[in-house]
Amino acid sequence: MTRFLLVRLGGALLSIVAASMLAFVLMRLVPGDPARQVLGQFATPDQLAAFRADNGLDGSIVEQYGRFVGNFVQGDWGTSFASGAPVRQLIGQRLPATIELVLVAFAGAVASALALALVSTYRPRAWLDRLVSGIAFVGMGTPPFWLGLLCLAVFFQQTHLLPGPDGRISPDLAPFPDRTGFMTLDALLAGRLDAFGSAVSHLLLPAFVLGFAMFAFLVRVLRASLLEVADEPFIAAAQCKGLSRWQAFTRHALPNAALPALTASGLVLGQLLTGSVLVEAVFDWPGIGGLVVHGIANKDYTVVQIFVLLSAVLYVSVNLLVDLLAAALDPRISLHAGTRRRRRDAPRAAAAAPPTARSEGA
Amino acid sequence: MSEQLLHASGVTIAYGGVPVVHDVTLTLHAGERVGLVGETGSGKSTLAMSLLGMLARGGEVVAGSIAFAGRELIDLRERDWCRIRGRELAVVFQDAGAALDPVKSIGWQVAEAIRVHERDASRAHLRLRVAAALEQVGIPAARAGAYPHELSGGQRQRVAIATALVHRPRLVIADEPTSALDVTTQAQTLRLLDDLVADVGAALLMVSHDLGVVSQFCETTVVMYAGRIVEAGPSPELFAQPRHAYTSGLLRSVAALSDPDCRRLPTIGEDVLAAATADREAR
Amino acid sequence: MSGTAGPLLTVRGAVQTFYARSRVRGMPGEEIRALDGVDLDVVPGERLGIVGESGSGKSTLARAVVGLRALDAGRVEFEGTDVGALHGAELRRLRARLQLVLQDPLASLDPRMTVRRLVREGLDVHATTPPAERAALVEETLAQCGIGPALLERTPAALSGGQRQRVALARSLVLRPTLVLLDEPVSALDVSVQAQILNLLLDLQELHGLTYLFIVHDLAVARWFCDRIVVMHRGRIVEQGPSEQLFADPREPYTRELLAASALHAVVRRRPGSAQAAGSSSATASTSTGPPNGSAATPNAERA
Repeated sequence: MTRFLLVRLGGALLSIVAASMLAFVLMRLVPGDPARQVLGQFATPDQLAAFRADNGLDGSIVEQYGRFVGNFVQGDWGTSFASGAPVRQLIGQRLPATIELVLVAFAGAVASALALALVSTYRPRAWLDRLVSGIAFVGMGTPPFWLGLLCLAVFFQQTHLLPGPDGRISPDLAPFPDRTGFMTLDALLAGRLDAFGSAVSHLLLPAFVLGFAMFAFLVRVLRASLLEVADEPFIAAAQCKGLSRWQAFTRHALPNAALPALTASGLVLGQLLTGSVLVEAVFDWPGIGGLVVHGIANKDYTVVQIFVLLSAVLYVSVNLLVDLLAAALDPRISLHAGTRRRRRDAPRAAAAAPPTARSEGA
Repeated sequence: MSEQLLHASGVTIAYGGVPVVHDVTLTLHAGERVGLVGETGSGKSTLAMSLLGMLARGGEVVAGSIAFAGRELIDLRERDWCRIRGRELAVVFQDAGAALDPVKSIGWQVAEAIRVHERDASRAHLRLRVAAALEQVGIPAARAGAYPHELSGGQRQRVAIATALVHRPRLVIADEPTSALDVTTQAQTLRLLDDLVADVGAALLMVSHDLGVVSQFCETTVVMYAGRIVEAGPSPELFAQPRHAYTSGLLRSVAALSDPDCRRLPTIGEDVLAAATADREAR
Repeated sequence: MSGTAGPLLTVRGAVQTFYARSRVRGMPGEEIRALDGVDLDVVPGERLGIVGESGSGKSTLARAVVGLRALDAGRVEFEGTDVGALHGAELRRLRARLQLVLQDPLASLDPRMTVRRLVREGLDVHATTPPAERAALVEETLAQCGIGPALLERTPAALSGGQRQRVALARSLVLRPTLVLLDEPVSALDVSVQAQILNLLLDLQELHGLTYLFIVHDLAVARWFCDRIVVMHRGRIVEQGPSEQLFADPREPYTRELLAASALHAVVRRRPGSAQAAGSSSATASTSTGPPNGSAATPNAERA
């Protein structure tokens, strides 16, 4: 177990460092000068030099990176050039909004993917197969920002069913205390059902848009997995015990099919966080996605660097977590290194048949 | 003569319109052990599965009737099937490893078999029943928390047997119950199955391609070829003096292997096969 | 028979360890000792049987002999040449003379190739026969294996189990090997087809002067077909000797156990449940509630 963790953590660390370096270097290679951005066209060379010295933009890239890493581990995540506020504070303010959005999108995607996959495999029908494949196809090929704009056009502009891109909650409502950072939870905690309703309705479209691609991917993976498991003898054996086909499906097929899908959804969750950038831009959602978009446009290095670093950390952690979860849920996986098959305590010596190996054992 | 338990008459089964079992008539009595013998494609497994209502997709019984303990099984609703399966009718599959859910402990799976028909059973009661069932097949109750992959092939098959007998069914269908096992485990497993089935008083329908096994464990043998019953009768007579040339052909092939003077194995001629297919008795 | 004086094949101290695939990245799988020091000799012209249960190492041994997988330790010599030392073209030339036929012809025959192409492929690869003669050789070998010209254009899916195994045999024989390893060649076949294939193997041995290394788990088949038998258990050879002798007087307890268990497949012509059940001493005390005379299982009625 320790060996497993060490290997994975080591790999994780390497990935994170590599990602941060890449972000660091790329930002500086892209044309544009933050000093000029902030100070304007008419800044003098002295002013520009002063700005650079103040913000640690002088010296070689290696020196700058070194300074960056040094500050980061001490808790100093830099200061945004554009706003002057510490990056850490900016991110802290805006992170809950993104997390709320991502969690709702994730939950919605998983639930609907499960339902659709289950229904379409339980009683396979040609038209249903085509429908699900079609949805998956469209979902995976549609850019989220385009879908966002389309949804806004249909549900807001044309029909006024749902609110437009004005943030997380209707601005006309009376404010209430911010305790968790999650608008929906805070509204409930404050007992404000009107605010709760508004928060939910504002969440609907962005969560749908963000979750749609993930839903499409998950449906495909789950369906394929379920179809494979549905033909296994243990499903028929369960029915022969007296379970109905539906019971056999939900109690035996689903858990077995979900395990491979688990790893897949871990991957996608990581992508969700980074994918929220565009969706937040479309819906003017006050999350870190919006922050990053502005940061890139304004050459706000510090913000972008931290964002990339955090994304890398998150992605890698989610993957590790998913692997650990899979090991915990699947009794066939053992994280203990090089175990020799234990001798079975068979009651009769003759009954100790040789272990069924997955290798080419005779 | 003991009561009639199962009576299938004129049963024809087709897959996607193509018949694989033709016009089969078969009777089983309470406590009787019947061996259903045949080679690949004989239809024996299909026939056995139809008795459980578990034909694979595309398969249906297109003609005939199957009466079990007084009720008609053909066109039975799923809800009624669920009441019979596991309680009055039970199965032991060929490959127990594949017939067990890999992510659930064996104790849980045996308990599930009990729970399906005894919905109000308490946890404690279930635990006792599971322990008793496992002990009966020679698996210590302490191993109830083990997963299928942690057991040997023989142990898994014994779990399958325990699961099948947990409600003392009237009929146990064993589909090639030992083919997937090693030779040393086969004998023990069959003996165990035989003992327990007799103990419960159930009838046994053993589907097998192995004539030796059937001759030793079943008092009645039914021989199938190409979807038809070629010959049926009490095992001692059938194996001592088979009436159909196909049966004698099969027996000769098996017997020849033990004959040190036999230089070439006898094979079954085309004419005999044709006769078996056309449903005529040949000599 | 071939004229070489010494054994055709020699195996000394074969060791092979496998690591089962790990389901998690970063973890090695568990260790399995498939071969644990095996010594074997195959005499030209004989039919040597290797008998054992699953996990005994018999299939691993076959693959090691043919050079499909390098041994971790030990030596395999074929016709005096060290198989492990050969590479590339030399190994290929050896392969022509040392053939392997596997259990499941459905899996070992390319499903998209016709019978003709399947058998021809080896000839084209080895290129020892002039191209003009290859087609005739293919047809001749197939005919010897009982596959007529009508089946030449079929794909494996359109053949029966027995026919597929014949094609697999022809594919090996067309290269005129000296030693043929057969890994459970009849286990997946019905008894009647098994008889045909075993007869065919005998005929082919006489016709081509072959030597067989026959891997099987069915003792009855091994007894009938093989001159000499080697019993394997957990990667080791437990006992070996002429087949009739081994069956008449087994010395090792494991061999005796195997023999006793295989009595299960012997057809018995007396009432079931009586004293002589499957090689055990316990008389089954089952209460046979079945009818003592005349079964009620009615044979298929004469439905005209």
